[in-house]
Amino acid sequence: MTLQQILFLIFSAITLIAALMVVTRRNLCHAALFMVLSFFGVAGLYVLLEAPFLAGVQVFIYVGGISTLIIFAIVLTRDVVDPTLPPHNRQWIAGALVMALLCSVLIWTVLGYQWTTTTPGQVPADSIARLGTILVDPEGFLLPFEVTSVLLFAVLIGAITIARER
Amino acid sequence: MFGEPTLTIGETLGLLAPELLLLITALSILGVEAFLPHDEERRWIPRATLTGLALALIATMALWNNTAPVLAVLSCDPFALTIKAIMLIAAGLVVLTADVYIRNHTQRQGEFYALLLLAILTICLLSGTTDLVMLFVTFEFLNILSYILTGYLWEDKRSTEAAIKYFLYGTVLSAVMLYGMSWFYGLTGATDLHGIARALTGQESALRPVVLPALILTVAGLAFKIGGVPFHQWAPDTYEGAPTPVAAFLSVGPQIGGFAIILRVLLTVLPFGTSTTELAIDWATLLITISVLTMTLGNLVALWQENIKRLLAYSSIAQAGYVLVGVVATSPLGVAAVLFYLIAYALANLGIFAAIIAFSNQTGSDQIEDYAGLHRRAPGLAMIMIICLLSLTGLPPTGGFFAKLWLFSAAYDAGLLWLAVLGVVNSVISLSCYWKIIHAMYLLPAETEERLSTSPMLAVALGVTVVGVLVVGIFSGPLLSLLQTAAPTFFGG
Repeated sequence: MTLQQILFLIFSAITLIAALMVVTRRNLCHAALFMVLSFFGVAGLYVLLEAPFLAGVQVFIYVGGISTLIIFAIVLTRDVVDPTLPPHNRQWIAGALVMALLCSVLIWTVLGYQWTTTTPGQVPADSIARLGTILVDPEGFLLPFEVTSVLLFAVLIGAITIARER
Repeated sequence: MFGEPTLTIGETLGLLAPELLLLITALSILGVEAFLPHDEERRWIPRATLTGLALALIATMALWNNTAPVLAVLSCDPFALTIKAIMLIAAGLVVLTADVYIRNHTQRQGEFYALLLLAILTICLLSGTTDLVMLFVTFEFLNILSYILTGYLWEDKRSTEAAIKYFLYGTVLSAVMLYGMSWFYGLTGATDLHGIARALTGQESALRPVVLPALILTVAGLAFKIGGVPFHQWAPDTYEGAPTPVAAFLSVGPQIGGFAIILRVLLTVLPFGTSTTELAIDWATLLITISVLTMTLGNLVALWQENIKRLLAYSSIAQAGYVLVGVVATSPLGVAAVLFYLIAYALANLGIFAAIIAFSNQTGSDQIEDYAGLHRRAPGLAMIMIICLLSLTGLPPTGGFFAKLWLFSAAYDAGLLWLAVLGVVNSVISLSCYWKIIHAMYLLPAETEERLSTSPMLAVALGVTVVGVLVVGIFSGPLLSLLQTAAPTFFGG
């Protein structure tokens, strides 16, 4: 087993176990902290895939931004959450069954298919510059990029309209 | 994909004119409204919205003969333009019905119309999307705006509840869809639909075990948008709790946008009208299953509904099932029939919603039992409702009859006679759902004799829809040949 494979297993284990803890913890704050750990695991996977920029973005936005936002939301809505309530309802068996089915189909697919294994291509040194160019290239992803900015604007307006005090 | 730009900036902006006009209108409304503190001065907002929609419609018409793709991710072909035109007209009707309701229920009118315009903008973008990245961004944009609009009346607990249910459902299924798309990218190395199609050509049987799960995951997200079974559970609660004009929008907008991408993805990635590979058969089986479940379950559950908005939610689920029949036909006639059906459905459904809003503006009720004796209190309203309900059922001489006729004959041509028969059986069941409303309006005694009046804008909406339903029925032949000009987008020639 190469070092890369061992690291892959470690990062995947961190991601999955933390994700499992997120949905099983009763305390929302603990769940949020486990989610941070899970995000870190994903960032590690990006590093393994030689995508340092994505790993950085993952840490900045998910670990830094989104997690903080979620913890703020938990703190601000403290009275809403009743820690004595069970974290799942009566439909969890049905949900688990559907997930088990989906999971087994996906595993069966991944194992059953003859994947073409090629040596991974070299990641170009200027990959970040290329990413930036593609995002603003009219023949690339300029339009989705612009639409996203309109989306953020609309979400801002929507959030203010729904949440502002009267 | 990253070649030299073939269009100048001016030409590109020209091709995006309908979308840009909608965006400019939305921004202007937000900007100007801030300086108008008095209610009286806000009456122009719906009119400004209508003006923006009309300008966008004119821009769409002006582009009619264009075939050049706008950018790598967006196509401006006859199919996309047809979808845009249908959506803009339907949106105009939604705005007409929203006027009084929104003024009565909230102070924040400018934001409502601006967000509605942006939602319409996303559907216009969806109609021409040829790239999975663009598809996901616009799809999610539409979802988020739908959640906000559903929860717009936050003082009303039902509105918030509806928004949260819709949000939870939508987010999970968007994630599932994105996961499916990532499989397609991993398999083919392309995000644009033509690139995926090229990579799949000739590899279909080899890639089948992987493409099939990816396909199911992707279709789950798309089926959510059109309310296909088993991803329909959000619809009744969302329709019931959402502000009624938003429910009206949700019943047509996402359907039109959803079917536009379903058709485009289906016919671009796997043009299986021309091939009979195993993969194509899988596609068809998957969609036929959803179609059968959707129309049958929608109609059967609708039989038990007491709230008219819930009934319409199940009815629109069932209608989505019929439209899928045309999608599986995968023929030029099938595409034209789907477009025809969307027009007839949008007109009839918005007509009913306009009547519901006119009724609830004065009585505050959405229960079917309260419609008792409506024909004495508002004969015109009751008559318009009957015509629209007949169109939804598919009885002549309304547009709905011809819409179903073309759909089922497209299915028959594709060798799916049993599916067409099932569609007809379902139409008969649907009549008994709608009969409940007709029975209350005409056969039950009225509790009061108080007359109901209708605001001018609602009257215009009611008039346009009922005339539209009849005109679509009378001129069904010419309209179908017009719509058939949109079909070659996918079938060459």
